[in-house]
Order: sequence, then structure tokens, then C-alpha cells
Amino acid sequence: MAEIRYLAPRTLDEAVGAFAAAQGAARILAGGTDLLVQMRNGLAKPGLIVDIKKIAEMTEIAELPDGGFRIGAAVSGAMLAEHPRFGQVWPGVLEAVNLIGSKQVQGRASPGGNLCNASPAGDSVPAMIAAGAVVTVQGPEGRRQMPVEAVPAGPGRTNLRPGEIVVGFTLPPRPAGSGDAYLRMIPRTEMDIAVVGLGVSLTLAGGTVTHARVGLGAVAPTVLLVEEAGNALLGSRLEEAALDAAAAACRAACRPINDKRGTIAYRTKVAGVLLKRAVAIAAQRAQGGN
Amino acid sequence: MTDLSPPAAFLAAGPDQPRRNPSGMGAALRHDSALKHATGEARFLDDLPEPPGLLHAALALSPVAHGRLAPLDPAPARAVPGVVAVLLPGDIPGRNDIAAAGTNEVMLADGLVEHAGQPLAVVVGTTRDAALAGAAALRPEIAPLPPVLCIEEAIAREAWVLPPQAITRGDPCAALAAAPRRLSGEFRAGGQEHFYLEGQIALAVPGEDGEMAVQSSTQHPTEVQHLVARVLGCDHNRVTVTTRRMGGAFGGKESNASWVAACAALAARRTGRPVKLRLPRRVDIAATGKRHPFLYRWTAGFDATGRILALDAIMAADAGHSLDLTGGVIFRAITHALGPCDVPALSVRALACKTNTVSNTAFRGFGGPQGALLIEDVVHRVARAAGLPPEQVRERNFAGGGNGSETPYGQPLEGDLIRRVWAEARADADWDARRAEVAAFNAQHPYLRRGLGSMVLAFGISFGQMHMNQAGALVHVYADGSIRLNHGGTEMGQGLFIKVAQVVASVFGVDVARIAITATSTAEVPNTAPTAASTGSDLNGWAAHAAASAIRARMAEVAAEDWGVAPAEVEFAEDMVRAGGNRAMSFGELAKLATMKRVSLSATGFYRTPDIHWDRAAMRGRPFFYVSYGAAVAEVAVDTLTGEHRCLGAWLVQDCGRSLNPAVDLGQVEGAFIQGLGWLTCEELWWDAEGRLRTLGPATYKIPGSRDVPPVLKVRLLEGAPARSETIFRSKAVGEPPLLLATAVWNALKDAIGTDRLDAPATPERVLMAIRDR
Repeated sequence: MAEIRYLAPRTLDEAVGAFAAAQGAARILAGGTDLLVQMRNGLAKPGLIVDIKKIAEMTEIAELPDGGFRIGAAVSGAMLAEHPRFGQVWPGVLEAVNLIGSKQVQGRASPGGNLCNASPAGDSVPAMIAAGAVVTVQGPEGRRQMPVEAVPAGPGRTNLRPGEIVVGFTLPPRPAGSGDAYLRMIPRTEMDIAVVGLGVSLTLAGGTVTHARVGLGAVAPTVLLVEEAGNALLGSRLEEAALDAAAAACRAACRPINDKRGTIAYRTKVAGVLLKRAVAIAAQRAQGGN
Repeated sequence: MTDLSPPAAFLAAGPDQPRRNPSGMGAALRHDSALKHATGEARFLDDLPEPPGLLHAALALSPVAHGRLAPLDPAPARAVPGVVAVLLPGDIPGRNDIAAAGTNEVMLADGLVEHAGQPLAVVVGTTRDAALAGAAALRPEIAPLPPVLCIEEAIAREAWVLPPQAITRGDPCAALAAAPRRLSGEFRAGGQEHFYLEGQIALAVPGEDGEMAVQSSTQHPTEVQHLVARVLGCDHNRVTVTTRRMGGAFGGKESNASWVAACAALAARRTGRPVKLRLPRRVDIAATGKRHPFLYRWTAGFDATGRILALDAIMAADAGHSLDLTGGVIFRAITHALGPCDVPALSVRALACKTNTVSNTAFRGFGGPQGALLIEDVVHRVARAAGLPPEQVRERNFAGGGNGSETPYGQPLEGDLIRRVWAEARADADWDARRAEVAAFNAQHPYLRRGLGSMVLAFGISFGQMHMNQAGALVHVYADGSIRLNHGGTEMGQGLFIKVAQVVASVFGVDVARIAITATSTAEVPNTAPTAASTGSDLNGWAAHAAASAIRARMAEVAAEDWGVAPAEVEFAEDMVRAGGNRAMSFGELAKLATMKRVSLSATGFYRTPDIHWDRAAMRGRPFFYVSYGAAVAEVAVDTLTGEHRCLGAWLVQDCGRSLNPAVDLGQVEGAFIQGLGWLTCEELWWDAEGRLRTLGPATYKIPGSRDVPPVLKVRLLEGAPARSETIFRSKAVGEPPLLLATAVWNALKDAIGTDRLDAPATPERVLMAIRDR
């Protein structure tokens, strides 16, 4: 067995330095719920593991002065669930994060890891896309920001540059009348991988949609931002025609494969159904219901 | 390995249990290892201390479904650090044949590959990782041949692993022609992976004079012994096989455990060192057999009352690439194709299709659940065609009453019990009120649809192979009055050991805590049958009863002589031995006295099931000692836009005769129902176009989770119905029959969505497609 080095730096600079120096032979360890399984199955053979959980910024949930949130990349689902306000402002994002795995997994797994694992079926990603979250990335050339939907490049691949680490997510401030929701279709009742996952974030003013974003997962090589679906809802009062148009946009965005988890026909049909249902939940939340 | 039972205080299932007979037959005692299972103290094979010098084995599997295999070059595996040996067919000293029932089923592919996942080589290393890396390093050269991957193609080619079997009665052609109405149907049911929690594992330790001690997670230690001896080319008496417990088996360790153990024994023989082979889950699922998938085609004749007058059916089983136990599975499928119903004229033909997939094997129910789906589908379709509820059509065709009371092959059915279990399940579920509720719900909800379904089962108990209906036991009483019990049955979590211990405790009139439960071993009880076909407690209970009774008779004589009374006056109860109202000594005192008087306190017991027979040529006889009955009602809700569904409630009544242990039996009914629910609704085996199974783990193969258990699950054992055959304490078997109760869920789904055809497993996707097609 090859030697594996383990580092748990206290600062981001140290982490980036070690990660970049390893030139691709290193892997970032947050909760480890993907990485350790991949290593055990021989799918990942890192020479260096950089544990980011000792870096304060990576494990913090901060409420920003403007009402937004900054979530460290290694924050676990359980930590998010325990935060007194996050779930009130972003119930859809929280649901999505905590649909991942079992209670035990939720105590370890992080949205940062879920994003960087780059599975087309990652549950937190469509909700983060719908939320309009922005990712902060740090690498040898410094910090930059990119929208969540720009991170995945394909199954298991990201658009991060060599040596770059995801530091955290910034979620924008929420105007009054906003709500979000995430729904997924799985063949069993729990602990499963999405056949379709769909996140919606809405803002309503006097019953009219003033802001709408839709993220769609498990139906294409990457999780998608479906702008056409959001546009179909924008300016509407969520009439049937607008919902039909948004559902049609979701179906049209699907580029799935036939595989053991579901057929093209099924995934496509369910994408439209989930759009309508997620919109209904988000709208109810936006209007003060829960 | 001796395993002393915990004190009786830990065994009592609850304060509400009757105290009169605190640990004998009929007491609701905990599984003897329940606490140890919970705390982790129960030792499974991989938990045992490893012997010095242990090597580990791994299997190299074929990536191709069908092809010509060039002689494998072991060099790439040998080059891996830690690899000690690479074993190929030429390294087998005996025969490369692991056939359980037939002949010539190879352990390691030799020249021809017949399914993806077929073992090609055993790689042995100083660590398990080294062995696995060695196996992965091999580069088999296989010239592909066209594979047969579906039942239809096998039928078209008439590719069978054994000739078709048929059961006929009357003149079905004439009866079909004469029937007022006719209807045809076709549907299919998928296979099922056993998904035992503990995977296949064996540890082989070579000894002197060619001995091989094998510890195996097997339901069939005797077959492990036979196969190890066959592969090593030695006598049976060189091989000792021991099994303390399995972490689940479900039929998957009836024949498949044997070749896993034989691979370990081969490696131990070739290296001269102990070898452990534990299959990784992916390898386990790829290389071991599953429940047989079935394709059904039928034509039925019936009248306006729903009476089914004639049936002509084909049940085609996907056997996989070799025979394994398919003969027995087919037999049980055709003998159970009418369930509790009577059809006067019929022909049911079973086809054992040969495909280039893993060789399918025993799985809880052994073809019985697949058989029962036939009549359930016919009843459902006839009911729809006749405009009647399926329950009414099934009742109209129940055996007994005005209908025939014998199966087409001559087995009597008890019409009164059939009607009783159904009436009780119907009452438990409050059927009529529930039906009205469902209708009201469906009238108002925009897209959810509820449905009600039911099932009535009749399941014959005995091995289809007559010679397998035998068992042995070995009981010792020691001088302190403690008792050691050994028998041929194996413990796989089902509670066999505690039930047989209760039988022995009853014979001696002692607390069950006095009895040491011990590992099954071919050295203690030879020539045993597998623990399968639900017969474990029936067979081993009687064998242990015989052994204990022999010892008790000798002890009674000792006491009688000491007291000057007749042996018949000596009674054994409450850990005491008494006679004549004023004579008494403790059981331990009598044991001590017997040893002082030079009386043997050790005995073997043997049992063979009486009154069963089968004429293979005529396909007639009375193959089952008795029949178990059960009934179920299930309520489901279906999301008609996504096909997702839930079982909201299930009401089950199962006939266990006079239960030996109601706590264990209730657990078996619950578990069987959920496992059946998995088979029929969510567990889907998915092969790619090249014939490779792609559902090799829990991420893709969906067994039910704890939340799939219906929120309302009411399970009841039929009361006041002791077995009419002379079974052990008039109990009835429980392992397999209740799996069929889950058919109620399949029926409820069809009721909810109003479809003619719903293939199993009824996954959300399949349900949605059925809604579209209806």
C-alpha cells in the first residue's frame, strides 16, 4: 500500500499551499463521506489528504450585515440544522443538505463536499443554484468568486483550477415574500440517490413573482440552472399556464441517460411534476406559510 | 464452539407471558442470541480470532457474459506484493464440480465463460487487500460469444437447464373451449438478491492426514462437506464443517455457501495454511445466485360468477446458466400455482430457461411465491373482466366448499382453514369500512389514489426432494444436570436454536437456560439436510425430541429403581423429578445418580417425515406433510404523477399451528412480509446490454428501509388451530409462507391504479408506466 500523508492545517494559506504543491496528488477532506468510500473502493488514491476542518473559516456559519449567510465549505448538514435562523430563511437549502445520507452521514457531510464531488445527483446543489449562492474559491493565485452552477464540469469533474479549494458559499439577502424548496424523486423512502432533484427559490410581491430561480439535478451530466423555467414564472401569479411553461422548460432541459436508476422518459416526466410541486411549496413559504 | 445461553431472566420476552411453562414449548422467549446481536458480542465468522499463518483469498470474476476463455496467465497477480498463489482449474486436486443437485457445474471457469461474474481464479495473499489487488490485476482473455440474456430468447431457442415439467388435470383444452368466457394474460416477476447482512464467508484450516476443518456461513454444512471433499478429492470423513450462526441467509447460503467454502479449502490445501475467503459485497452480488425471475403466459376459462373452470399456463423461470437448485424451485412453483384455489381442468407447464446470467438459486419461498402470483394474476384479471371484486372471485374458487379440495397433483387442502384465515384478516382490516374510506378518498384527491388488496396463501411444508426430509440430533446430559444440545439445523437469525432448545426443555421439564446451544457440525450430526424449506424446527425439533426422550426414559428408570416405583410414574417438571406425590429430587441430582449407576446420558435422535410421497413420472402424490395457511390485507397510496407509492397498512393472519415460540414466529412473519414487499415493489436487478449486473450494492439495489414498514402493521398468529398432522407439538413452519402475504401489496397497487398488468417489482417508474398504459 502506498503511503498517504495527512495534513490538518489551521490556516487556509497553509492548506492551499500544501494542496497546490501536491500537484493533483492531494484530495481535500471535509466530512469524508464520499472521499473515504472512494479510497476504500480503490477509486481514489491520494498521496496527500488535506483536512480542512481545523480551519475556522471553513466551519463557520456567519450571518452577514445585509441579511445574507456565509457558510464554510466544511460545515456539516447537522450544524446547519442546528443554526437558529438559517433554516427559517433557507428551508429549501436546509432540506436539500439534510436529505443526504443518514443521520450519521449528516453529522459529517458538507455542502462543499457535495458540490466538489460533482455528482449530477448531488442533493444540495440544485437548492444552492436556486438560492443564487456564490462560491468563494481560494487557490495559488488568490481568491475568486463564481456562481454555484459554474462549479460542476461533468460527472466527478469541476471547473476549479489546479490547487483551488472551495472556501464557502455566500447566500444573498432575502427580501420579504421569499421562499425556497427542494424536492427529489427517489425509488425508496430514505437514504437514496436522486433520480430527479429540483430546487426552486421565489420572491413574490402582492402575489406576483418578482424573482425565480430553478436548479435541476440528476437529469444531465451536471446540475443545471434552468433559466427558462425561472423566466416562465417571473411576472406571473403562478397561473397554470406559467407553471406548465416552467415545467415544460424543465423537461426540455433534461438530457438524462437510461440507466439502472431510471429511464430517460421517466426522469423527464418527473422533472416537470417536481417543478410544479416545489413551486407550490416555495410559494406557500414566500407567503408566510411553512 | 460452545455458547452458553444467558440466564432465563434475560430470555423472558415480557412480564405478560404465561408463567406456568416459563421456558418450554409455546413460551414467547427471546432469540437466544438477541442481546448478543444487539451488543455485538455474538461472534460471526469474520469476528473469530484468526489462526496463525492465516492467508486470505479473493475471486477473479469474468467481466463477460459468454465467451471462450483462454488459459489465464497468473503472472500479473503473482507480481502483486503479498500474493502467494493464483489457483486455476488445473490446481483442483479433485473435481471442478460444485453441482448441488445435478453434475458438472464448474467452480472455476475452464475454457468457457457462461455469465458475467463467474469465478475464474482464486487469488491467495498474505492480506485480504493483497489478494483483492491480485485478483484485480488478472487480465482474462475471453473471445465473446453471443449471450442469451432474457427468458424470451431462451424459450425461442428451447434452451433449458432441465426438461419442462407439467402438472395437468382433466382436459384443459376442452374445458377452455366449453367455458362461457376466456381471457389471456402475460406478466413477469423479477428476481431478488438475498442481501444477507453477513456476506458469504468461509475459513478453511488444513490439519494432519488430509483433514480440512471448515467454518462456513452456510445453511447446509453437509453439502459444504460434500463439495469440499469433491473438490479436494478426499473422503467425507476428512472434512469437518462447523457453523455457529449466519448473519442472514434467506436461501442464499443453501448451495452458494458450498462453493465459497470449497474455494477457501482449495486454497488451504494448495498453500498448506489456513485461508479465509470473505466476498466483498460487489463480488457477492455478482457471483452468487438470486431468486428466479419468472415470465407468465396464461389462458383461463371462467363463468359469470367468477368461477375459473380451466387454466392453461406457462411459467418460465430464468435459471441462469446452470441447474443449481432450479429443479426444486420449478417444482414448488407449479405445485403452488393455484395457491388456495381449485381449478378443475388445467395444464401448468414450467420452463427452466438457460440464460447467460448468474445461476439462480433458493430464496425464501423457493418458487412458491412466484407460483402463487399466477393464480393471483388470473383472479385479478377474471375479476375485472367479470366486473367483480377480486376477493369475491378468489373466494368463489377456494378449495373445499362446493369446489374440489385436492390440488391437481393430489395434495389435500383444508378449505375450512383457508376460509378462516381470510375471514379473520378481512375482519382485522375492517374491510368494508376501509373500502368505503378508500373510495371516498379517491373521489376527492386530485392525484393520490389509494388501493386495497388481499392475499390468501396455502404453502406446502416438506422438501420437494423426498430424501431431504430427515434430521438428526445429539443430546448430552452432564452429571450436574446441564444439557448440551446439538442438531443438524443451522441458525441464521430465524430463531431455530431457541425453538429446538424449548422442545428439549419441555421433554426434560427443565428451564431452557439449562441447555447449552452449540454450533452445527458435521462431526456431531452427519448426513443432514439443509436448513431450508421452512422445515428447520419441524425436522430438528422432532430429532432432538427423540434424543432427549431416549435419555429421559433412561433417567426415569434410574429414579424408578431408586424409589421403587414404576418408570411410568416418574414425572419431569419445573427442574424437578417426582413420583407418587412424595418422591422428589432435582434434575441435577438425578443426572448425578444416573452417572453413578453407569447409565448413559447421551443419545442421538433421528427423524424422517412420514406419509409423504411423490411420483415423478406421473407428477402426482402427497409431497407435503401438511399445508400452512395465511391471509393478508394491504392498503396503499399511489402518487399517480410520479408513480411513488407507500404501503399504509397491512393486516396479516398466519397459521403457525400451535406456535413453539410466538415471539420468534411473529418476528418471522413481519420480516417475511417486508422481504416480500421488497421483492414485489422496490428490489430491481438491472443488467446492462452486455449482461452485466449493475446493481451490485445498496446504492443501486434497493432493499426496503425501516420507513418502508407500513405505519400500521398488525400481525397475528391464527389461534386455536393446532396442526392436524403429527408435527412437533402440533406447531407449523413459519420461515417462508408469510413472504407470500406481501402479494397483497401488489394487488393493492393494481387496485389503486386500475391496471390489468403490473410487472414486479412495481417500482415507481413501472407504476407510472402502468398508469399511462391502462
